Amino acid sequence: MIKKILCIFISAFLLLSGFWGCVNSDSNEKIDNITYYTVQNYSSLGGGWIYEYNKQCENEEDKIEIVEFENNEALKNKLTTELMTGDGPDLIDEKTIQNADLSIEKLIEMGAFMDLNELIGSDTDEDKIDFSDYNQKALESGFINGKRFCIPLYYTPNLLLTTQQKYSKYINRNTPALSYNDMLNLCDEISNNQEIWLFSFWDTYYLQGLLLDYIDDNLDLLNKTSNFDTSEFDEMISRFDKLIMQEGKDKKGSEESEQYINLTEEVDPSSYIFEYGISFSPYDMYSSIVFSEQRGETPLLLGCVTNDTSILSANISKSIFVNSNSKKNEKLLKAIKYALSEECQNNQVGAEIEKYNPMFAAYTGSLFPVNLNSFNKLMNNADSFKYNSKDSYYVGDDDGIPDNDKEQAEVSEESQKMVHNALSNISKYELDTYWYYNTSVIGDLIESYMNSEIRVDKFVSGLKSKTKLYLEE
Amino acid sequence: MIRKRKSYLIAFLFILPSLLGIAVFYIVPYIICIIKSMYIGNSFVGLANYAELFRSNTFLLALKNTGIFTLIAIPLLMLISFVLALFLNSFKKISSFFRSSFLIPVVVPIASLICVWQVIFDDYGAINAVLNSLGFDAVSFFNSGFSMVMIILIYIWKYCGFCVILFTAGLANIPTSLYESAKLDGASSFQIVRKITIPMITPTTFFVFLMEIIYSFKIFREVFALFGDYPNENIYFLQNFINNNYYNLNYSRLSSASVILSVFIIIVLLVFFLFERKRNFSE
Repeated sequence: MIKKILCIFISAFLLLSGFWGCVNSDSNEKIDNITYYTVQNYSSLGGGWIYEYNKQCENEEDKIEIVEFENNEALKNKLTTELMTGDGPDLIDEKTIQNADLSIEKLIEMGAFMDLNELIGSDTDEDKIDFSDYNQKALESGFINGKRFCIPLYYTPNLLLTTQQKYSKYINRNTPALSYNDMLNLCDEISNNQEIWLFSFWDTYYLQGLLLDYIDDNLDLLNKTSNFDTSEFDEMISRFDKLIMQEGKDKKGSEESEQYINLTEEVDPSSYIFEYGISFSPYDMYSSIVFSEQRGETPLLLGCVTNDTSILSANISKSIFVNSNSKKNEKLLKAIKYALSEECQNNQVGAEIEKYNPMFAAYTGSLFPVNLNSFNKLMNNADSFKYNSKDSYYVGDDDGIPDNDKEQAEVSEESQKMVHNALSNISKYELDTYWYYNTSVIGDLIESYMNSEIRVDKFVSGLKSKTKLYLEE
Repeated sequence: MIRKRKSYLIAFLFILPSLLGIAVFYIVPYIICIIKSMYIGNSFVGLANYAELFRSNTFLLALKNTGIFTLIAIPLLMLISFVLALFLNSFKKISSFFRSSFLIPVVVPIASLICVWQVIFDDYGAINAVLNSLGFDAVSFFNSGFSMVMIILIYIWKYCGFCVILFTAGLANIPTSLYESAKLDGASSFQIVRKITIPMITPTTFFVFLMEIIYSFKIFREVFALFGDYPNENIYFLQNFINNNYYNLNYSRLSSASVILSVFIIIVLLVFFLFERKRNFSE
């Protein structure tokens, strides 16, 4: 009798404890606010437009719930599980996607994102979004297979700044952009020259970046095609290989080299061909241009290396995607309208700053806005400023403005016209859909090749094999 | 009768937690997987996912490679381990250390195993260093047609010892009187093995086959550790396909591939079960 009671009791206990373990201890209150997932302390990074949006919201219900995770792994686990179960954050951007180590084109394929034309089309308010107020070509980059999966907010032009004098000496080409052959010829030429560098700040990963750009330019992830099987591709990889081998023996980037450049030293402008990092904002661009003009040189803007040298291009650096499972249309529309508004974009790009601070771009990651009014305001503001006549990140006060006004100068009209022309002639805007492919698919292979752990033939066969599997999976 | 019913009830109550666990972690997820394989997002598409899978070159490649590996590696491993077991059985006494040493490859951690194999077979590894010193070109063992051979070699090296132990145990259970009678009747060694040894260890053979099927799908761990998500085309298995679709959040596709893989395994095991049962029945 006692045995029976004991058996029943133990069985009941095991059953109950099994079910108890399945109870969800986190209370899931229904959240009506639209949600956004991120890693780290979002507000401490300057916040971005979401932080500004929440500050100006009068109703608590309209605010965006920023859910912060400890690390990328936690974000990825939560996001992938929720997307599978038909849930997930309402707003997604490329930063969330990168932190979660996911692929944009695969997410589009599996229907994770809403067609925003439907969302915008359902807007019955008077202040409906009018796409003619924005950079049409930039917005078109969010169109994939006839649907608007994302709304681009900011972009980075792919431009290089040099001078007419250096251009005639080293490049001498009459197309708006440089080809890969041009850049490799340049790398070849200066690799034997101890006196000249490619950039004002030596980027030891430049060749790796250039190789990745070339591979990406020969690959269309959205249409699943590649040019890897052509003889031109093989030839170009051989050229890269020769330079990479030379790079390994070269002094450039070596800490022992006399020419090793760091940020605290003043850079001799005759020792490099291209200015580094000018595309962050027009302020940085003009600052470098004034520097060239003060030396008596004629600044010249070129497009970055590309397969099609007849066009100038830009990368979309910030955009909005909406979860296809989201039902909070009204709140989403409010948030998107704010993100595209002149007020928001002016704040984000510093279109109304009163004085130029060289560190501004580094602080906010300010870029070029898609809102046309904001863009015009930004350019007018940038045109009206005076800029330091030296590269003075560490000159004068902490804000980088020198004490002596004589050291500042305005940008010449010709240079202003050159910049305006270059920006208005950008005809190709691209989403950064290659991040996942470059890091998770071929990242290890590239690293092994650059570190000379594998030969070029193994690199090429590995590249073709991995790409084919990734495209057809 | 009532007492019998009560004892059944108590027995059922005792196995209920395990049964629930199996149901919750195996049966229910499998059913959910089958259901998910018939959806794309929230839309029901029936067998369209399966049809699309069989049109996908990558899936067919994965299926082909998995089939080749299974058809070559398993029989080869069974044959080698059986022959080794016969050889070891011919010794009257073998030290326990020698027997235990066969299990060392099974317990070696994968990371250590990968390190060792890379040191030996990498492009700049020991074997290629020897080949280069003799004037031959280096052989790309892991990134060419040799890749499948290398994976089969790793599989055999890792699990051979365990199968030898199993076969040795099976051989030990065969009555020696059968061998003595056969020898008296003038049977040759080959006839003894064919007519006595092999039929008598059929249950052991079946168990070894079952274990090898399971281990053959675990070889994905070594492939993943060596080559990552996207290995050479020759060693791109179904598990790679499923794993990558999981990372790409393509759950409908991975569910379809998983169901196909499970059906494949069930068919193989069912055929073997029926064969073994028929053999036992005829005996």
